[in-house]
Amino acid sequence: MTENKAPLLELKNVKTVFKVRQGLLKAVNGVSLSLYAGETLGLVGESGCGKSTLGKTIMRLYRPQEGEVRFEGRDIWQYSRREQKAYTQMVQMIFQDPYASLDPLSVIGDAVAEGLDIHRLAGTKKDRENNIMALLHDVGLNQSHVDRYPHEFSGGQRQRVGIARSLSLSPKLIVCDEPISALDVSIQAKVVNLLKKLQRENHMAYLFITHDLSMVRQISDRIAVMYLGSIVEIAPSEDIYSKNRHPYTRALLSAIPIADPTVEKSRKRIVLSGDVPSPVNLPAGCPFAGRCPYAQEICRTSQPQLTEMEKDHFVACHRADEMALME
Amino acid sequence: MSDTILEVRDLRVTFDMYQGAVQAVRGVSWHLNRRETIGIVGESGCGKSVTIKTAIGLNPVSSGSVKGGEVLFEGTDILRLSEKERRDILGNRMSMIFQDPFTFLNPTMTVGRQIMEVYLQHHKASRREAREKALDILRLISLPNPEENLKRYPHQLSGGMRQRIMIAMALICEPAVLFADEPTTALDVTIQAQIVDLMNSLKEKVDTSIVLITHDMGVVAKMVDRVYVMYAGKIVEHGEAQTIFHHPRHPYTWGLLESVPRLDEKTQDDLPSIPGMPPDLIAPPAGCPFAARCRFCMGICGREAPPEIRLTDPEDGRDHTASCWLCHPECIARNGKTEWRAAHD
Repeated sequence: MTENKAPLLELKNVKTVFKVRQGLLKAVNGVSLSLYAGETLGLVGESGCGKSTLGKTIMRLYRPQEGEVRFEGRDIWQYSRREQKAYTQMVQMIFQDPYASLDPLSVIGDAVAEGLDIHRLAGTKKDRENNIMALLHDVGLNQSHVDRYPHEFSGGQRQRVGIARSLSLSPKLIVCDEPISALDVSIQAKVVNLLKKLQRENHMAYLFITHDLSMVRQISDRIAVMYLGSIVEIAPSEDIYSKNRHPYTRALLSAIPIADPTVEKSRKRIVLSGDVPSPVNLPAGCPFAGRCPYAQEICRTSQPQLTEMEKDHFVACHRADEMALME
Repeated sequence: MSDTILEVRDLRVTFDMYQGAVQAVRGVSWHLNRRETIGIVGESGCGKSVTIKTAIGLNPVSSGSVKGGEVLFEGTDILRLSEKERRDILGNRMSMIFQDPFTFLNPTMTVGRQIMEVYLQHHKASRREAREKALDILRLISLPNPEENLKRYPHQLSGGMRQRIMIAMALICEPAVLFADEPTTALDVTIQAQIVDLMNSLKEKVDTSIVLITHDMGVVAKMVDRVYVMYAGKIVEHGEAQTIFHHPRHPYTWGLLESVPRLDEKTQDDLPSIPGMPPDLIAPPAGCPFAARCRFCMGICGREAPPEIRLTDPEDGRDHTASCWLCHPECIARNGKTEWRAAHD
């Protein structure tokens, strides 16, 4: 859909590895993807699949062992000192836990203005004040809340503070690391609606990391499904739900219960047995082979590569052609 | 469904705080039949966890916070038992699965010892017998390599396995009532599906009734026979799961159902959400607690709390109640019946 434009962010075969006692933990094991300006890419997977590590690698918090992360065409690890600081301004993060990510000793106004202060963008005291008020207004917080402390707010309100903080530097990309999973359902809907509204107004890109396949559909243009450090399927949002090819995507979708007892009783489900294997000393072959109901000999010996099956729809599965026929 | 095994009658719980008394539970009644699963749903802070913690006896009358009501388990009032009598029931005849398997297991004991401890507490048995029993229960919940896993410490197990250990601890004495407080919220979806299937099958195998607390309407649809919807310390609607999902009558239930995105439906532009926040329970409003957030709010809603109104179910005529003035015969006579138009109807 956006072939003629250069991507805002480009990952090429990124591997982020941690040394642990038992060997090497390959949290991100060769991920390549592109993210375009103003787009939302959903990144979905179970805990331990490496999705947060990937987010932090993009934030320049972890240095990948192999591969490169390019932002607007430049490798982020080739940056000069000054460029590094500029990068922290263009790329922001919203964290999962709104209780842990705010300083309990700092009032909301100061928390929101921290980025402005660090980058000396506020100018006069009056400008700073106006900036804070505009940000609070944008995220739907009452402007009289500016002098309050984090503990005086509910989870949904704190997440709004986190969003205001990330917006303060007008970033081009926001990495949202499970921004809604700590919130109640009715509050989740409000935060998702807010993020969509802000994107319409400010035209930034989101990398939306989550394990919730039902909520991510509401916000994403494209969705990438991750398993054990690799991306197994990436496609435009609706294709993930209607034309999915990878057995893991199907299993993930069928595991989510639907809020309707009648539908739920008549549904056929794929229940995966066992847990996600350890990312230490990964086996050869497809990372999903051990839990896959369709695995064959080839799946255990060679790792499938992401292949374009339809326009913009990539699948890493040896049996992707047959999967399209199996319902 | 036949006889009632557990009944909560007009329970009132208030916690004294620096700012004033928080009325967490304000007159809640529900019952649980044998071999039944009921679900209590609502947003955080609506009092659902306090209700079941009180029902299992973790919050006895002697603590001073229970201001009224009774909890009848097989005819005896749990709230007024002595400490010793209470301990005989807790973990034995009634047990509980907590939300977070990471914090509720003892990190310094092997999981085998933790499971056996529950059994030894309530039975005159040797350690060998307790170990056999623990292995039986681990096989029942289909944990792989039970003998190996008994010797492990919690940190050596994954989240799904830890939640299975919690379930094993809760079930080893074959309780008559199992309370589950958000048992799958901390787990991944594929593991959640395994645990939900497991709990559904155990109900038959162990002959247990389940009280499930959750805010996930999907899990409710999969597990539950009857639903109680709680809001601001009160039950606002109650009925069979089919009724609550297909013919809900309380605007709060409508809001809850609307804000859940459904995988089998196309996306809309914006997800509907319930405006505003739940009321402050230090000074709960005089009228309907939901009035301030309700798009159908009428004059009377702000003045007077609605009574519990019995409704007949269009499908099977079973119990269905809602505390909402919209369901009052006089309101229906004047304005007609206000129906919920869901996107999927």
